Amino acid sequence: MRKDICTFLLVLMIAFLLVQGLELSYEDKEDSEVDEYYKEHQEKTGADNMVEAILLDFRAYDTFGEVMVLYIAIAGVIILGKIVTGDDQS
Amino acid sequence: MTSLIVKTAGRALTPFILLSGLYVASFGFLSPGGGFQGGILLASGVILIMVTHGSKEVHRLAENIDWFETFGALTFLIVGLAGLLLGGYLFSNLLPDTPLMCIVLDIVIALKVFVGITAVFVYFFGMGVKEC
Amino acid sequence: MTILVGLYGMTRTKNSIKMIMCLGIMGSGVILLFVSVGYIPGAGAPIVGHSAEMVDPLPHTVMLTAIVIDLATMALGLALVYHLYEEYGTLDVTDYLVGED
Repeated sequence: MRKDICTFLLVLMIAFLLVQGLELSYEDKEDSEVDEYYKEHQEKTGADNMVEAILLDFRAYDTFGEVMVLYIAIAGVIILGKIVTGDDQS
Repeated sequence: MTSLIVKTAGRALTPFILLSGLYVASFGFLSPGGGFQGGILLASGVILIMVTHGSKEVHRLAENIDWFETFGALTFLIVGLAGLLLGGYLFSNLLPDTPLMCIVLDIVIALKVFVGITAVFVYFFGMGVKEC
Repeated sequence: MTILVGLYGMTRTKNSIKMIMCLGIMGSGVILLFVSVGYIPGAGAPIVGHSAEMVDPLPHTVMLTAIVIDLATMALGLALVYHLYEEYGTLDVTDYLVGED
């Protein structure tokens, strides 16, 4: 019973924080300066798709870190699978 | 285990799924799409074959294909370092006003995601086979 | 709202696989939240020449990263849960804490 109340209070607190953050982010949506910079300098990348232009040109370093996360996770899955199936016994 | 209908449908659908994956990956700079989505589509084609026809052949293929993962990561790093050496900062565009960098990185990411997801599914299926 | 559903499920369940499913639900909630923040009424897809006014492309980019990291995290977690099941023979997290006896 006490655990139920604690869980309910935790969820309520995080809901409050989320609502506060959403109000902040919805207020100043009109004049996003970073967005204007990307829209003005889009011709430099040569890509018409704005998401690709940001992902692979303006913020390619972030994408590199994300590719590394994917690499490490898949390496972990492969190592665990090799332990289970016993491919690595030799 | 699988019936003739499932085998035939899987064999007929897989080339079109792979083709649409290649299209999404290589034209990601012009139209909706990109490297990750194309890689997932390519992997789904291979997984369809694996589900319908059994995973023996694909398992042997996937064990020899793991080094593509490292190849993709290294190519990404080499593109970044070339931008650092020739353009002044990391991942700078070597040919401005042309989408060459986007195309190269798109295809590299598509290859990497394709190999990665296929390997993950192969090893999950291998875990299930060991259990029985 | 979806984030809260995932959080409640993750704190209340004892099954490891259900915990990882709740992780996926929380990821979906975060993706919906960010994409809805970037939405502008009446704007089209963020492609040059497609429509006059485009939605904010930056949350889409960040969420494309978040989707892949969700997938990688869930794959690694499922592999670990499989090993825990092989070791202990159960999926209940409270049995893992008791130790070996």
